Amino acid sequence: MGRYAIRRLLQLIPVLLGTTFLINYMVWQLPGDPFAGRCGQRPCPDAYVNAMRSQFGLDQPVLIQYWHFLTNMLTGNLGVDFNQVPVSTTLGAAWPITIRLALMAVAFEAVIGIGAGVLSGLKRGGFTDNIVTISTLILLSLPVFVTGYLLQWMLGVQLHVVEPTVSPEAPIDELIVPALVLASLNMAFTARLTRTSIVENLRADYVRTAVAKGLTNRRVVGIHLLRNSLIPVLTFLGTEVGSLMSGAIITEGIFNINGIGGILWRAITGQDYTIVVPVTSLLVLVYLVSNLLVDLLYGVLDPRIRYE
Amino acid sequence: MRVTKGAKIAAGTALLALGVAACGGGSGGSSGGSGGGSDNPRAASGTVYIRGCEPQTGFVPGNINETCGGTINDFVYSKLVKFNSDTAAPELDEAASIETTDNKVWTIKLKPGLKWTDGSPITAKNYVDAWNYTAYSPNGQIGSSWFADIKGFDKVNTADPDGPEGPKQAPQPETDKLSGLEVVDDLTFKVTLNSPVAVFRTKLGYVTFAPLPESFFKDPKAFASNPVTNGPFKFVKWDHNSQIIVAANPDYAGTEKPKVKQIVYKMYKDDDAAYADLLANNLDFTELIPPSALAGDKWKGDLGDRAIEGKQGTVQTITFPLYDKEFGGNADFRKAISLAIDRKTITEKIFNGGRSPIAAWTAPIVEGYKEGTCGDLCNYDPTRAKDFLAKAKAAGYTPPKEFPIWYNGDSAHKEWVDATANSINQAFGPDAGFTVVGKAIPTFAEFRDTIVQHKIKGLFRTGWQMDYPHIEDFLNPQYKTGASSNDAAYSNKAVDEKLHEADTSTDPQQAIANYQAAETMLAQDMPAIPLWYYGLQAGTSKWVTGVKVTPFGELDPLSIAIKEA
Amino acid sequence: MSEPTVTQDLIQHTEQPTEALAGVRSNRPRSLWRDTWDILKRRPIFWISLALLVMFLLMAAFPSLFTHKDPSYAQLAKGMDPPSSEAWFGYDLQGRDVFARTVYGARASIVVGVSATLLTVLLGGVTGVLAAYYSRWLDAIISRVGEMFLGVPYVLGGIIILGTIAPAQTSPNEVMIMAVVVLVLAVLGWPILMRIARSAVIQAKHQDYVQAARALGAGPIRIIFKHLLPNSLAPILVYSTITIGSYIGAEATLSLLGIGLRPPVISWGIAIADHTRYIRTGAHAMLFPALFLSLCVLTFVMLGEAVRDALDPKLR
Repeated sequence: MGRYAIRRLLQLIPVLLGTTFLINYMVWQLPGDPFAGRCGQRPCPDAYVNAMRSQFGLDQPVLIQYWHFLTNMLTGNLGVDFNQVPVSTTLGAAWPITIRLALMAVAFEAVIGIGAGVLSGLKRGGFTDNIVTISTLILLSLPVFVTGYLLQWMLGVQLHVVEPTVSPEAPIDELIVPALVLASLNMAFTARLTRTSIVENLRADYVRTAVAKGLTNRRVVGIHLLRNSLIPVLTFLGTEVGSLMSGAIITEGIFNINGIGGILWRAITGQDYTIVVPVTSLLVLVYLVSNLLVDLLYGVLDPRIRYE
Repeated sequence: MRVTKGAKIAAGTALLALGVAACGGGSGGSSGGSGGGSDNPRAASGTVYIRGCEPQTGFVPGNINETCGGTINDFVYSKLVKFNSDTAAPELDEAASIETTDNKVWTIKLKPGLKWTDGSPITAKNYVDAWNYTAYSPNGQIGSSWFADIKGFDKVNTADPDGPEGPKQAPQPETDKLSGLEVVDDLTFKVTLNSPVAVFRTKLGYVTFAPLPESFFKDPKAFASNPVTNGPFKFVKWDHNSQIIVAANPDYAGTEKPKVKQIVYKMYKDDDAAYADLLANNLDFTELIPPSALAGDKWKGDLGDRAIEGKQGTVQTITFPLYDKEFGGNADFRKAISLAIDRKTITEKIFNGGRSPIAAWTAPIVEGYKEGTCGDLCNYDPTRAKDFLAKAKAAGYTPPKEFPIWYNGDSAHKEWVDATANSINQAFGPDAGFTVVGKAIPTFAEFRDTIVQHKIKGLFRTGWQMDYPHIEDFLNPQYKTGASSNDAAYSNKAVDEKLHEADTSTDPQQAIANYQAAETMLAQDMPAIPLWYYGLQAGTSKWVTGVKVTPFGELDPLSIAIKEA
Repeated sequence: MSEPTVTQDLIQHTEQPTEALAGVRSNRPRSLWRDTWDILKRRPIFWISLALLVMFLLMAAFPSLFTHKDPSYAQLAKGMDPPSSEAWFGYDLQGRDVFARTVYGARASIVVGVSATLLTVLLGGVTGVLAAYYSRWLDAIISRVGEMFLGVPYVLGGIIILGTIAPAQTSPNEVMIMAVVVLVLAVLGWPILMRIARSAVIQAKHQDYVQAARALGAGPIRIIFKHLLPNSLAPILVYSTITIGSYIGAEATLSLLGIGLRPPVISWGIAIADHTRYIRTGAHAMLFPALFLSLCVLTFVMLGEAVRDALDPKLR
């Protein structure tokens, strides 16, 4: 297992190289000139465009530009973005908030999603099951904007039990509602995946054996049933950590959270590779690590699974 | 407002039971029941919170041209001229006098005793140095072209012979000093223009014409994020993507002093978020009321007497690519399209009256605005529209089957573009031979790039937000042959001559009459179709009072005050 | 609830399907698909979902059977008018009939949702099974490539794919627009399905019967199709039925950027996205398409469930 983990970590290097190059190239391929749109309906002066282009190396070929990026990255110098703000300042402020929000969302997904899934799976076709099914479908068909807006309006503006928006420091208690909103869509997936696994495994021999042995319900469900049913659910949650970070654009907007999603969105529409490339590299890193953790967990949950 | 927790929760459950209905019906109830009185949380700190957004550039006035940066820079920099918040009329600010006899040579005297926030005096040299710096092309400042009227501009600012795309470099300018700028003494300088410019005095109120202190030139980069300024407020701190804090400048010499100690320019990504904070009285001012609240005039119910309505100097138009045979059409076709747009219903239904139909190419609040220069060609009249279409076709123009109206997909234009397209299609009916459709180009950068390179295939949205409140600002940049923002590539000798005559008139009234004459001539060619001008919808929290909004749609920072106990 | 009852429930639940199956087990040759059909036709939920599916498919194919109104005819003056006898679902922001637009929106929504899901399942399923079955270097390559794709933000990938295949300035037809959206969703969405398929196959691979089959000398194709796939189908099927719904919604998010479905195409996603900002005054314009979307997903979920139950080898 140890060697497997090390091998996986070593694979980071080519993946990061590949991703940074791919993203660099893609940002380069975006149509339009990043500095043409910066002057509203007036054209930007040539001198300004030239100065910006040479500052950011846009007048050089992709490969050279990529090389500059790599050397800067390795020396820990991320430089400044197109607004002349140090990239490390922007990311340093946003990452901790984003990580907090994403982890909270994953926790909600796991707790509520798995909980609802287990309840509906155990009593298939029962009242709980139907309620869970209907609420997952509602969550699925309402855009995040609507759920977020309604919660903000009810809890923040009408009742004032929470502040409608999150303060710049984004403490954990203020992030509860946004994390719930962010988690809402994926909760549907988690609940359905859990339910299916539970239903499947209920019929497995080991559950019958466990029940026959006279084990308590809690033990049967908690140790035998859940453990064996979690693999697809965990896999799904693992792939979602990263997208909860980059895809929180709308949630961040509604609750005014200074997170990565909004920064990434603005950088993409403004073609600011100085932000897009480091952020996506970090995201790929998150995906790699969370997937590795999930893969290692397979072995823990199901001892039959081994990695050579 | 002192509701105990228990009561709050009880009220809460009741509201929860009402569900979505409560949400839709809830008006200003949550904010009512309080006089703002003794427990005003703003009173102790003297700090107010207003809606902001992250500026694209720092605090260098010559390098700014977007609203996020423009608003906050207007708080900290004073210029020679400022615009009255009520009437939009230009008034002297740092200048003691601005004199000219021929609109060509201007003598500007500063008020004595003005100081920078670092204590150094404000001199004529500060102005001249700042303008020279901005105009000098190797400095790459966004605002450089604002100084093109001044004599010697071509010597300090050289164009790239083949544009930024080409391999050639722009030649090094001969000098870095505008020959038209001359310091007479500490408080006086003289400006010589290439030719008479009637509106030069008004232009001086634009942010690019602000002065810069000595300390700027030592390290322009560091200055941009920690400036020394001369306005009613001074810079305190900037947390990127989160907030900018400015504090009242104790040395500010203006007659009207700031009434609050600090302003926090709090950045919001979403108008709905800012509005929610305003209703919760966490935010004291926003000038952007979101569509969700504008719809059905909900915001007026939410805010009551804290709703502020006004007008802005922004006109929405749609423009034809006149260089394109297929989509440029002929004058009759363009008039037909204009007649087929039901501006009244669109502004009522889509904007809830937040914008008002217009029959001119100039915004109503500016000096020189004349009503109805577009005549009845800007009124909805399907019958006449069909007549003009028939005429256009008879003259040999066949519109392509699909006629797009382009817009940038990264901001909210879809609704009105679709409504406009529907209006045109239904006015002409099914046998018009063509359909108008709204189409998005994903980003503003790509959108503008396509327009500037004359590659756009169809009508496209254009909007002009005034730089200074004068009719000239709407005409010269957009409709003069070869002008910088003439997106239609419109060229009409008679219009050019009339505009030139206006530019060089020494009598301001005569100048305005000529501009109006030129504007009226646009109706014959209809290169761009005027649609509506922007109203202003703003709101305040219950903690503040006296709030005024400038004609630029920004908060007048001197007006805002905290309610007395 | 007291504990013993639940235990009984557990057992009952495990017993029940077996009893139901008793009758099916006749002496016919034991074909997987034959058995499946036999089970399916006895389940009411299958017939209900099938009826709903037929209705949605009819709506997609012949919308004019359901409404005689023109979904594109806009009377702006009636914009946002609430439901009435004249227009059952009211009018939308542009003053178009919401019922007509909801009916006509079925086609694009279902086509895009279903085909994007199919493509995702195809891409993700094949790569996931291969990665899990062969493991080692093939797994490493597929998984790492998947992670790179996961890292590409939707917005960026969407703009690039659209810009390459159907640049904004061209006038792509309906089919082209839909194809691009399907491609964007599938190309950026397959890695999640790959991970899920991979996990299911990894789990199945280590089961005794697979080891036994391998020991008996079964080839990879036989093992994959006869043993691994049927045993790992459940999570894939469940994930993809919900994905249909989330793709119909995602299509709307993309269209906000001008890279999703756009006019002349009519879809539920566009209708929902266009009216989210007006929930305070005109919720009907958003809620009715959302309702249809829910119902449509429910259909697929029920159908998927029924099919999965019938296919499940643990039942026989």
